[in-house]
Amino acid sequence: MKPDRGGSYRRLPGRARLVFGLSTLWYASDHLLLVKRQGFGESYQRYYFRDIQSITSHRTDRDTLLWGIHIVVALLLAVPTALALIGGKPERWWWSIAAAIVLYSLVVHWWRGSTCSCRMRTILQEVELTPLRRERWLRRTFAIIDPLIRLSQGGLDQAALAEQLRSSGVVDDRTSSREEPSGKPPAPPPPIGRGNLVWHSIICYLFIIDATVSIGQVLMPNTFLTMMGAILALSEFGVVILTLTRQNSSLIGRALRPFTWTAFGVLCLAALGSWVAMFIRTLQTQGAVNPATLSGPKWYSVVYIVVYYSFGIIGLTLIRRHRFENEHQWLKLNT
Amino acid sequence: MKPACPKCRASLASDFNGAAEEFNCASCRSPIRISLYPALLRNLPEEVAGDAVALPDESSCFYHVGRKAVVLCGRCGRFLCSLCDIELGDQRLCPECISSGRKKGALTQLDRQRLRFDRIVLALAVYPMLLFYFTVLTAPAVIMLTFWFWNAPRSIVEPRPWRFILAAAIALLQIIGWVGLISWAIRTQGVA
Repeated sequence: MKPDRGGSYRRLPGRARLVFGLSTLWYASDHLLLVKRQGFGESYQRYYFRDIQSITSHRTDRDTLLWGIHIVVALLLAVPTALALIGGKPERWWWSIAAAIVLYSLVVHWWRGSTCSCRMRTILQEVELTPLRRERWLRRTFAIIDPLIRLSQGGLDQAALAEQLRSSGVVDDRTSSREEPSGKPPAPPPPIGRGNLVWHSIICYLFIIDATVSIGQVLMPNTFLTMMGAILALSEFGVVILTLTRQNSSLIGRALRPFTWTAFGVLCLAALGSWVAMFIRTLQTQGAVNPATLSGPKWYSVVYIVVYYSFGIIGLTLIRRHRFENEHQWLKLNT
Repeated sequence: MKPACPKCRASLASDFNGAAEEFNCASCRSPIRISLYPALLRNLPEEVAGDAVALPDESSCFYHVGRKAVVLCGRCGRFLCSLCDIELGDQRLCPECISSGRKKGALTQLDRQRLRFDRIVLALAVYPMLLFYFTVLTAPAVIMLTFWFWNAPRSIVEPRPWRFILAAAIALLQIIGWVGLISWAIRTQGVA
């Protein structure tokens, strides 16, 4: 027997980055091949078209997270790059290259579009098709493999398949399933746990700590407080982005969702305000300022402290009220 | 096995009516797109031990003499009972052919992983160029390994040997460079 050289596979759109590797999807006449390349090795998983039972997909919030990261990095790079370019400093090329890389990454992210997750079920297992993490790739891949799957499984049309699935009890009839048999209203969603609001609470506490640190910076500016302020600002961005990605899949109330988005807006405005204030200050002093104790004008610091304190306290009140309402509802349901 | 929401794992049985469509999960309310296929109606095949030979002139399985043959092996042509009949893609093979095919690398359908020798050789040709004096050792090694691994099983999806060829070309250029450098050094020393 001669070793089979393969070569009968065609590449499908989409890829997913792995640690030291890449995951891609290929297809042959009768099966789908998931290839995971790690280092110098390749592993293969085959899914025969005749065994595929269903393909499900849903949108994910990963693109929001990626947008957030890109925006934060772009904001962090914008001012030093502008300062280096205006000042004609020798390091302007390094800043420009870094800014160009971030800009390129931003354009690629925008071009690839929204993110999603795709799962495929066979008779034996359910797997995530990791390369199909963008809706654009999913649509194009689906247009190729869907006819192949249908062809290999007998080419049953949609209506006939729906009828067979309904009669076999795999799915219920839509019209009958929407109404409860006893006429009772549908059960309310389960109450939220304490864990669901942890990240919202962390945002509020971070805002309060940041405002307190800012008071210290106004009264006695020093390197330690400036560094602490910078670390807090970055942590706030991270926690807010994380909360935004998590809250869509949780059952938290309507009041808290806009709160997180407002927090994100406040952080972006504060970051922009800080950069502009520092930029003006640097231009005024022609760069002769200690960056460790660099801060904006006094009025800006006062507004910053008031907004951050108010936001933290309002947030904690909202969370407290939300918890109380939820526990109250739970008690009412139980009694 | 009923389809489940990919996000919250709740059963989707009452949320859609069978055909490919988009809807919101009743449990987590996230929008879901689903496509169902007739395989959903199929159950796992039951294990069959194979029927016993009923008549004296009836063909029996090569591996189980007492069992009735139901199919021929797609490679060796031996008679097989339903227990020995292994379905592999479009082929039906006997355990012996599967075992030998796996050893010889003839059945790509059974390959679960492969080492990419072409990538190793290319990396060995390219990365030492960062510290160029390593190439005096790696360039001959690349040429040797290219010949050594030329017939080794390649990637299933990218079987063309262009990485081997590229690596050998780079290594050849490195060797030419070294030869030129050494001859130049000898000539310069000779003149001095």
